[in-house]
Amino acid sequence: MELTTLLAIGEIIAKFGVPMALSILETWDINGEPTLEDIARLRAMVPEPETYFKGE
Amino acid sequence: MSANCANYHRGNRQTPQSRVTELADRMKRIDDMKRYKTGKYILIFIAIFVISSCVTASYTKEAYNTLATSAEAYDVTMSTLGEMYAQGRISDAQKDKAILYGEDFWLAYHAAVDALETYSITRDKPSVSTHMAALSKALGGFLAYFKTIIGD
Repeated sequence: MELTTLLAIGEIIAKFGVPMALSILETWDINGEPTLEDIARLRAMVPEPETYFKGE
Repeated sequence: MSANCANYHRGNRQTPQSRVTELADRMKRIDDMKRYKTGKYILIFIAIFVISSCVTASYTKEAYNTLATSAEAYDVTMSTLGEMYAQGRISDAQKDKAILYGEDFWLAYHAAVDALETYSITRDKPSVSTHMAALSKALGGFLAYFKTIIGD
């Protein structure tokens, strides 16, 4: 990961605090090498941007 | 003699209400400073954790962690923007622009996940690296735009 992106994420973490840091660490909590299932699970973590603005 | 006492003796007496307001402001500043300090410590902790995991983790695990971290950052920022839009704190134009940046990230992210999936079978490292660089750029742009909306 590029340093600028890492810093940007760091700033976001600083803004949102401990829960954000913990949720990142939770996503890393897999045993050993990521399997194909773990990688496939990554897809569900990023829904399309429009979905965040629906429901109001 | 403290500044407050000096003011008091000079006749610059504060009303109880203004004193309460001042104290509330001061408490808020202290809270902000505490939060900033906590944020700094978390940042340092995460940086050390990321660097140490990058040194020790395999390429697949490192790429996986990068993708998971990016996904979490995207999810939190998009959720925040969605809430801000629902509360009327951002305009339609800002929402549309956020969606554009979000789409850039979404495309780069899913391409990187596909590349990582292929890598775990074929071990084609250059393809993953290229997609990771594109992902990093898209996330950087997205987070930079988010910062302009919420301010520092």
